[in-house]
Amino acid sequence: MSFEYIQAKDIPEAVMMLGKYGDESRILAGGTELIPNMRHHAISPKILISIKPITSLCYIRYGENNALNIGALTPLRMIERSSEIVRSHSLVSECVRSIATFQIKNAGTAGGNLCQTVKCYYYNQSHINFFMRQSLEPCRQRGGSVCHASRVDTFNHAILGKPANGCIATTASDLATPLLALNACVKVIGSKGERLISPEDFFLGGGRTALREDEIVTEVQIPSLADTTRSTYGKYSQGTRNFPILNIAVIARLTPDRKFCEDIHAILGGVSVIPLRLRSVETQFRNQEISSLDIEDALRDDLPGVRIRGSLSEYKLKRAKTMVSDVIHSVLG
Amino acid sequence: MSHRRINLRINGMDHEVEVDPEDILLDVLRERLNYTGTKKGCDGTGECGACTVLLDGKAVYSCLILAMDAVGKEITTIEDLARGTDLHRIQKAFLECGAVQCGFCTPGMILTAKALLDENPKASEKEIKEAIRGNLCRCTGYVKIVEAIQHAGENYGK
Repeated sequence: MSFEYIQAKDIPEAVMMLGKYGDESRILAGGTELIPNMRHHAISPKILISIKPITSLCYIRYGENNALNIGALTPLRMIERSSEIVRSHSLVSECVRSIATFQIKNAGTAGGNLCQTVKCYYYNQSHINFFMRQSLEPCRQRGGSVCHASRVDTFNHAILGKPANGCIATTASDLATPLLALNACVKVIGSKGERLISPEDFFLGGGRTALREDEIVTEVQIPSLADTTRSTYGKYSQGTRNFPILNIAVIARLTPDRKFCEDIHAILGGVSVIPLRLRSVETQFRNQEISSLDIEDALRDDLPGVRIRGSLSEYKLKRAKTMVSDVIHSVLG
Repeated sequence: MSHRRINLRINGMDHEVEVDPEDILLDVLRERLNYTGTKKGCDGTGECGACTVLLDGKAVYSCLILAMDAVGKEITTIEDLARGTDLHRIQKAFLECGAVQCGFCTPGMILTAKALLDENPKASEKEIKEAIRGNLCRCTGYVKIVEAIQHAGENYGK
């Protein structure tokens, strides 16, 4: 690792520096993913722009209509410990509680979690695999033209849908899935000003986001939820750093007697390159009596079959279906 | 690349040290300033927790923090806990409960336990297990470690 280190004192300075140094530079916030990636030689930026001094981006606030606004530099642990968020948006609390470890969450930030690159053992996972990777042709993430993962039966990658820019790694951000379910917005600032991006447009897959070269994430805005709304988050992961292999966020608005489902949002992460909206489940369950719902039938359209037939992919699909069914039952039950 | 002279405040003392931008806090602590109680395990992947230090009272992996980013922060290492031969309550509890085997994970475990108990002295077994999830013990002495943290939590801070 060899680079220049500069600190931005405020947002305009960070934007100006990004504009000046372009793709030779990277933003350093918590550093919990950037530094391992640099150590694994996955990326080698020439300049790191530390935005840690911008303390004005560290906050949890409630704005208009009780919408929850989280500053991009808010540590994940602060979000997890916020009793207001447990009350107003328990889905976010549950999700953040499941992320990595105490230490990672004290350093890692909300904005950083959204801007993660992919996690793939052909690209950046573990130093041992660095030697394995040297014997392979570089993958697309490393400037090559192949995706090694797409040739094999896999458990850690997308099992259905199209690759993103030739890469089949899934979105590594835990928060992506609940933010989609919550209809949240990501606020970004660049040289051309401020804009709000919906998570559906923000995550592009293949470790890319809709951020332009000189833009940084400044805030996540999450609308308030009605009192009759119930939600649950589910996750399957392995290892200490536990990136989501599968995660699911479900929000449903029920009638006060809990017999009818008025509205439902169900997002499943880990099966495709970006979290998948379970459209059939949402359409078939909206305005329906809960006792009449058949999840398996609805999932047949949303999760048709795996890309490469094999025990790992098929097991992942089965596991995903079970998770969806369990989480939806717990929300509607 | 450009060297810079920075001031790191470690265990209440100021240390002037010349660093490169790529110098990691863990390496500066161990190799330059001789705070070798902070251990190097997984070497910069943020998995093992042996390098845990407190940064403004919060447990973090020092292998994932640039030395330059620690300027202006209060860094606490394991060396700050005992006062001479008088051990910290958590250190005593680890000894009394037999929570130390090879000892490599112990400094990180104790600092994570300190951050937890400073925040919540009445942490439940579940909360303790959640807190030490980021500290790996390959002697697998977790039962004793959890017991020790619970023991240290009794009358903590009184």
